[in-house]
Amino acid sequence: MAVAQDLLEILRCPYCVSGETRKPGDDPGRLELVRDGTWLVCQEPDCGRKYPIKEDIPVMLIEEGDKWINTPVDQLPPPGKLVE
Amino acid sequence: MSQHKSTVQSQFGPSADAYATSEVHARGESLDVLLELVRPRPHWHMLDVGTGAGHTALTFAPHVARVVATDITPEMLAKTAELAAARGLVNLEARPADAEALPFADASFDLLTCRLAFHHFPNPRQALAEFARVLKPGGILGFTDNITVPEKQAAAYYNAYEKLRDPSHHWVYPQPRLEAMFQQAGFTILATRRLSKEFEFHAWADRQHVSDENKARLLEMMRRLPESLHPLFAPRWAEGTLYFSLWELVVVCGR
Repeated sequence: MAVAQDLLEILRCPYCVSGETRKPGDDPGRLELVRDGTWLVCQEPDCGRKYPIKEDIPVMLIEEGDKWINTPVDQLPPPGKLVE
Repeated sequence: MSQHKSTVQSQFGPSADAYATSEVHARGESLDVLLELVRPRPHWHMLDVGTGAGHTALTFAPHVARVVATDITPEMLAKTAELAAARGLVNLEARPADAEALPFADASFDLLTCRLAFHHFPNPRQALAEFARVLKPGGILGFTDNITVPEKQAAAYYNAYEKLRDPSHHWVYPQPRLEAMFQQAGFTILATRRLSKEFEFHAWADRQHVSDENKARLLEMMRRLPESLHPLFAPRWAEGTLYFSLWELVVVCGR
């Protein structure tokens, strides 16, 4: 099972789409699915936040994305379980 | 994450089962009233923010096309997903998200519900701005939360009472203040209804694992209640225990 396509289409990086940190443009914070569909990467230049998909559930919390800002996509680990 | 948001997580993680079975949360009158006032449509895409054990999402799911239920506490989401599976609801997805930084594109939903969660949000104006952002133009906000009286000192006393029982409680507002916040966020108020719900003290306190010491403090606060809070709490001692009421406001807004 994977994340439903129509839900993926409306998901955005919470940092780049909301509040004072919102990026310019009509539709900021678009995401790209990487690592065999297990991670979502923000497509805004200068963001770099990456969100794990744990047990088919994207963890779209800013502090989760923050943890992986400096990790290159090819070094992202398996996402793990939602409740450890 | 802010200190307050992690307090919410640590307060509700261990309480997930208690909230899944709580009468007030599962069968509360406000849930029926919300459903009646919102009148959901079968084609609607709905977001339930601060879903807790998912009672609002589960109640609305049979009436709409799809529900995304969000909460900042992963244990609560696991409970929601479990209950949805048990009821055979395949159009409900439970997702972690912060009400003040929703991970969705603008104008994604026809209906946004937020029931008995707003008093946990450290920055409620930002949450309302997010609600307005992710709703489509013409979308509906279906909201309920506890309210207090307008007098400042009494409102502070009320909030101290709720916070002593639940440290993740942030603030409950009087009705005029809430309505002004909705309007400032760009919403038009379509309907409001105030409900009163009565609690037995120990069941209410035990749901948040209140210590005996704090229970004694809460009972003392109820004995010294300011006059202006009597119509709200309406305390009565009977059968060796305390019964008191809380006010809950149901608000339906248009975006």
